[in-house]
Amino acid sequence: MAAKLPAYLREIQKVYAAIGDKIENLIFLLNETETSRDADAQELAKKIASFLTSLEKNVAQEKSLAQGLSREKKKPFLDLLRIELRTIRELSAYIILSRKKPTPAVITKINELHRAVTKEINQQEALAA
Amino acid sequence: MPKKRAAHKKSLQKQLLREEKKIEALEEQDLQGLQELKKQISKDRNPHPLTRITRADIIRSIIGALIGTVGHFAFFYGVELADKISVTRATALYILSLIVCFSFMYYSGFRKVKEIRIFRFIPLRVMVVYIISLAVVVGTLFIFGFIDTTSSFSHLYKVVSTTLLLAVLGASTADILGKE
Repeated sequence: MAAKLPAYLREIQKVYAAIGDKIENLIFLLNETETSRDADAQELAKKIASFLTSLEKNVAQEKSLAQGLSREKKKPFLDLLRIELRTIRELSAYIILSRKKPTPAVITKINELHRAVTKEINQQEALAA
Repeated sequence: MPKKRAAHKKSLQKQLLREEKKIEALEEQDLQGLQELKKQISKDRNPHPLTRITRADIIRSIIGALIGTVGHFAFFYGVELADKISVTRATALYILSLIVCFSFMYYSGFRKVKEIRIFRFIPLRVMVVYIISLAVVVGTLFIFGFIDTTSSFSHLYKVVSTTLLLAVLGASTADILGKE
C-alpha cells in the first residue's frame, strides 16, 4: 500500500498546483483596489472553495494509504496530514470570507495559508519518498 | 485433518487476495478521482486577471503618456538631446525606460497589501504600458514634424529614446493613479 502513496502524493501536489494558480489569481484580484473586478473575484473564490473541498476529501484518503509506512515515518506523516487538512479547511474558510470581506488581513491570511499548504504537501512527499 | 487445514489455508489465501484486489481497485479509483479533479480544474480556465486589459486601461495609459510627452513640450528637449547621444546611450535609455516602468508599476501600485508580490502578473501590463508609450511618442513626434517617412532609422531610434522615459513615467503614473 505504501508504494502507492508517493504516486498519490504526486497527484495531490499536481492538483494543488492547479488550485494554487487560481488562488494566486484570486489574491491578485483581491489585492487590487479597483472595484470593477469584484464580481470576477467572487466567482473565482466560489470555484476555489469548491475545488478545495474536493481536494480535502482526497487528502483525507492519504490516511489509509499511510498504513503501509514504516513506524518511524508513519507518525510524523499522520501529524503532517492532520495539520495539512486543518490548513486546507482554514484556507477554504478564508476564501469564502473574502467574498464578503476582502480586507487586507484576509488577503494576507489567504496568501500565508496558500504558502503553508504548498510547504506541507512538499514535506509530506519528501517524507513518503 | 491436514487436508482440511490445507484447504482452509487456501481459502484464506484466496480471501486475502480478493481483499487486496478490492483495496487496489479502491486506490485506483481514488487516483482516478484525483486526475479527474485536476482535469476539471484545468478545464475551468478563468481568463488571467491581467489579460483583461480594458479600453479604459489603454485610454488611461495614452493620456498619461501624452501628458508626459507633450506637457511642457518635453519632447522638444528630447529631440535636442537626441542629437548629442550615441545609439548605445539610446539603447540604454530604452532599457532604463522599461526598468522604470516595471518599478513604478510594481513598487508603487496602490495595492491593499503591498507585501504580497506575485511576479508572474506584471510583465504583460508593463509591456502594454511600454508599447502604448512608444506609440504615443512616435505619434507626437510625427504630428509636430520632428520625424517623417524620410527620417533615418538611427535618428528615429534616438529621438524616440530620449522622450520615451517621460512618456513611460506619465503612462505608468496614470495606470496606477487612475484605478481609484
